[in-house]
Amino acid sequence: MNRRNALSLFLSAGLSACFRREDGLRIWAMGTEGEKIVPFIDNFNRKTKGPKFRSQALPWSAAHEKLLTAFAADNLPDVIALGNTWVSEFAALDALEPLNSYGIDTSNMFEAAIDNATIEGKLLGVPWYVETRLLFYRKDNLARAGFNNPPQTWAEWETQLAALDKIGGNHKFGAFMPVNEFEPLVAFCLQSEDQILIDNATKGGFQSRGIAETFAFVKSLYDKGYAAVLAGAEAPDLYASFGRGEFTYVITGPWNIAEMRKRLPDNVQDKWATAPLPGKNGIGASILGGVSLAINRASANKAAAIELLKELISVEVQADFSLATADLPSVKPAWAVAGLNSDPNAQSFYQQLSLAKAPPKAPEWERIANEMAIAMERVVRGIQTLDDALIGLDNFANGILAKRRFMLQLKGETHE
Amino acid sequence: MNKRLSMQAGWVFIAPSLFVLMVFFFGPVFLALIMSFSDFDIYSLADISNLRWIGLDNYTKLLQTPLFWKALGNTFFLAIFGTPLSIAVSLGLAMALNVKSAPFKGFFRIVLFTPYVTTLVAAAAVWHFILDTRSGLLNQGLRLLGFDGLDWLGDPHFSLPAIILFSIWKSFGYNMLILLAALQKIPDELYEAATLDGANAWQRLLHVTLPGIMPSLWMVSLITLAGYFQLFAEPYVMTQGGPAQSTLTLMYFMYNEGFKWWNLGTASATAFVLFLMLLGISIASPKNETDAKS
Amino acid sequence: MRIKTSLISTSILCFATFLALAPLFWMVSVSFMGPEDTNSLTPPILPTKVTFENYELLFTQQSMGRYLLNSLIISTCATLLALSFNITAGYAFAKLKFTGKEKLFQGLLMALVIPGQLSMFPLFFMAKNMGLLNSFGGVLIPFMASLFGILMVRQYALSIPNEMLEAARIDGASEYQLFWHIVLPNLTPIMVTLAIFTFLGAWNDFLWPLIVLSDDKFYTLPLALAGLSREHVQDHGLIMAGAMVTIVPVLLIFLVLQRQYVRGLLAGSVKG
Repeated sequence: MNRRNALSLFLSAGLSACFRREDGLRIWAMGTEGEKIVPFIDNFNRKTKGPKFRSQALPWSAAHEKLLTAFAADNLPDVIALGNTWVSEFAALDALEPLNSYGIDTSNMFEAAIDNATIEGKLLGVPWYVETRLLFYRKDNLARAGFNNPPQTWAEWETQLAALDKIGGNHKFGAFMPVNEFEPLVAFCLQSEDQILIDNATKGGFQSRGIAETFAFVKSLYDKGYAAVLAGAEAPDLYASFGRGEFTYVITGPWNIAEMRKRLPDNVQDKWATAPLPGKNGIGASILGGVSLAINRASANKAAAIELLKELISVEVQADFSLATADLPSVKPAWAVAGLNSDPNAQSFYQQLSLAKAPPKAPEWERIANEMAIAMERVVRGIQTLDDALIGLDNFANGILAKRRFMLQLKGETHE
Repeated sequence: MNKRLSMQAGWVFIAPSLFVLMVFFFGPVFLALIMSFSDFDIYSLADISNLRWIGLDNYTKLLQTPLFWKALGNTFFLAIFGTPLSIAVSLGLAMALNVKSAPFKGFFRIVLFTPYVTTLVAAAAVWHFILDTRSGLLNQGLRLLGFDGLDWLGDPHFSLPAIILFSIWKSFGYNMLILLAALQKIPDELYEAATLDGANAWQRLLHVTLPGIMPSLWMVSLITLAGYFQLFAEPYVMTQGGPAQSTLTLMYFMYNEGFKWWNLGTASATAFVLFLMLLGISIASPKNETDAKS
Repeated sequence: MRIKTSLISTSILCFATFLALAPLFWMVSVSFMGPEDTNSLTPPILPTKVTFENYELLFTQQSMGRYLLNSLIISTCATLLALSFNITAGYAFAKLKFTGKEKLFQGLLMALVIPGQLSMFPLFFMAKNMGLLNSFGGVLIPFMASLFGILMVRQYALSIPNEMLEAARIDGASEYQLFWHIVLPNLTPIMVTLAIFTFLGAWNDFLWPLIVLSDDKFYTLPLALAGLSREHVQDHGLIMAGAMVTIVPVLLIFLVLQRQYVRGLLAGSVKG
């Protein structure tokens, strides 16, 4: 008798879970931000008289798939944190609510970030935090090689890397640039006057002179041994290695300001610094990244979602969130409040952010970016020549963008 | 009268599962075939009117996709090298367990079967650490023996062998038990007769053992082969298909196309290519003992 | 000579046992290690200091308890579903006569070749239209009826003596009474085997739940562990502890019920 009761209780719990649909408001955010946002959501829930939000953290490695699967399942949350490269994709899916008319003040944000989230004149996301990639470097290694300043041009950088190769000691290689990360490669490509994707991002531009030159430049760093051919997870521990001075340069993002401070030994803390990326003829652009907050067009309570959005981009919350996550605020006045104006490393980022460029705004962009890294890895490992790789990339891009081309041609929008 | 009732009962008894199979298995399989003739992608997801019928284009495009061939090649590598190694290990251990005078057979049988029972994802997570270049157990062991550690999961040349190694560890127990049961059915007299005829151990193996277990040997080989064709969780957990797509299998390629990029047309076509290959293997295999023995 | 072969075979078996168990032993050991051990260049075989912090973190920060419960609920429901649907069909194919039985059975046998992944994508949309996505129900769909289950039950049911069934029919029992009072009790062993197979299969299921479930509060252990393993790559102790929580229940079930499990494995696999 007791067993039967327990069984039916068990079964009904299971059955109710079978048909339980999500109730309540939801926000999804990726990575550590997804975990760190929880107290801010709690705070908002406490202050608001409206419905409460529940947050879920998505691991970066699976976030994109989960978001698309959730869209396919009609199960996107009310507020979605979208990586900037995904905004155009979800725009193409018509999944996002245009935010132009909701009275959100974006005047004090980084222009490139706003541009990134604006598709065909519609503001589809509000920049939440911004990031870009630039040089972190060991000043003492540079000094030992005879340089006092970080490089401002490609040529200067190559000179430095050549000299660094000879300083010996702990130093093993000049730059830590795992081949399977596309961000540094894309950053250098964005410095070029030629576009990675041409014709309103409907065709590949990889065989253009500027892009080909950039690829050749990056390849030469690997060929000359300045950059070791490592794939991210198999590379030595970045921090342990940087701390031991085994390499001098790494191109990475703002989260590493705090991570370096946390993980490097104390005696190394005054030996590293940051600087914007060298460009062909002077300090160059970099890839604009970051995350924007968007609202699900199918959300049942957009008003509450807008309130949450406004809360999360208010100067105080931006500053507090920055202090909690070490992410860079998208709202410029928040930098001062968070004390970032007195941090030279953060200031490098401010400088780079003003020079940053958004990557191509095609939904297929991320696949193409991934393929760029894959192609570079093949070239660097000697599996394919650079020319073949560039032709392959153009073929790949043209193939993938075929549907986009087709649909934009219908609308007459293939020419910029 | 009884016969009719019995027939009625027969249909009533199979109706529920037949219905479920029709609706939730055969139906979707048929729909997948249809989907493979369309260009379903995220644009179609947004608005189904964006869908176009493209006949066999998905299949032809697939054959022109280098990544597809890479995945196919990886899968073939796994199947061609993994299957015989796997069978050899299972057969060897089954033969060891079949030795009459060996002690503790029950204990060994259970213990050796343990890896098969473990959850694949969990085992893959454990092996991910074991194969770690710097601190993993395998390289530690190799260094103890005087060898250098290998970059198992970071070097494209070693990644597939690493997956095979893990896969053999995970699944040898199943084949071992089946082969053991088959071995036990071979009558002792056959061995005795062979020994009397002057056959040594190797000849006994070739002429008594192997023919005696041939049907089961074929069966486990086919099952193992089919299993390698459908490999997915191992690279998903351990290598994400890398390094340099060296561990991208056909199933992983299909998963990426389908659930990462939502190119369901391409993904369905890939699934059917996989199905056709499995069908080909099963058709080409012997169906009964006489076929097998010939 | 006898001693020599049994010595050889025993040493082979011992070596194989070592290789088979070493990874699992390592898993247990690392799960109790703190970061000083796991992050060092050469982690030791045994923890220098046994710590429970990995398990603490798992259940407090990473909600492992909820995932464990989810796995339990799903596996149990899957088992009940499989038993409900497959037993009757397996018996019918074995012992009942009805038109088209042979052809139907041949068709089902041939369908064994079809890989399950083929049905995934349309099934996803089907589940969506039925409102079963992102719920346990969606995850359970593939377990309702399985070709393998039907075949397993059929193979076993073939061994029920026909005389017993005929005698009952002559006594006037209906097919349903026959099934309930005579057949079912005789099928108990294979029901146990089917239950074990289904439970373990559902517990270990990965790809379909990965696709169906988007909210992490419904996650099963394999899903949670895969996420943990990809996201917290350097946190070896935590991941090993998660692997422990996932594996130990199925290992226990197997150890307790291994005879039935192995019997089911061999049923229908060995000709003759």
